[in-house]
Amino acid sequence: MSASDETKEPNFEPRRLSSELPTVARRKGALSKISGAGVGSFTVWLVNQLHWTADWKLFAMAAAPWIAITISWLGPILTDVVYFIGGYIRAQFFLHELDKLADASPDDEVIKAKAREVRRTIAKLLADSAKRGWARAVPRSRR
Amino acid sequence: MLEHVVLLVSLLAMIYPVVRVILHLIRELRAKKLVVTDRDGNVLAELSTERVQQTDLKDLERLRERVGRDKGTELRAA
Repeated sequence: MSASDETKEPNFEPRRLSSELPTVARRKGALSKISGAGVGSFTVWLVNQLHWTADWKLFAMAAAPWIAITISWLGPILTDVVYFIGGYIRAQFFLHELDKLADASPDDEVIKAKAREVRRTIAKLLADSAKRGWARAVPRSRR
Repeated sequence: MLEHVVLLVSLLAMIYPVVRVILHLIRELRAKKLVVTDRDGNVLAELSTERVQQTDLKDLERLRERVGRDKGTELRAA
């Protein structure tokens, strides 16, 4: 291993136990499983209400657990997408307030410079989280 | 009777996580401050419009550098 390899940071996140995850990520996983179970049992209920032949009822009830695990797999991904959009909207509100503040004192160059720097920082954070957005779906080896 | 219980339980299990996500979003959108956290949830910096005057440009520069270096930094409402 050469010196340049040691200084280079690893391009992947090490695998972590679920108890080591931050609270939001842990809740995301738990609630996704709950909603998956809900969709699965709702499927069974729905199939029971419909007047299907016994074969198709059996087919749909056998598919219910697979629907459930698909939903609980999709849950955290969809939640990430929704939270990312929410965070983006929140940042836009923040930047709008910042613009109003800078416009309120047009002669104050210091506030304008500071507002510009805060804007740059937020833009960088948003770009960074957008780049990481689909990292979950990419295999670890290719991340 | 029993089928109503099944329906109720499954509907609650479907609706409750969605409600939690919506409540989280509302809390996020109503907050007056933003914080930058690293991937373990530790607060690195606070950004708020009321305190723009007090922010230090050097701090912001250091923060931007760290955001470029670290993988899991996040912008969250506080």
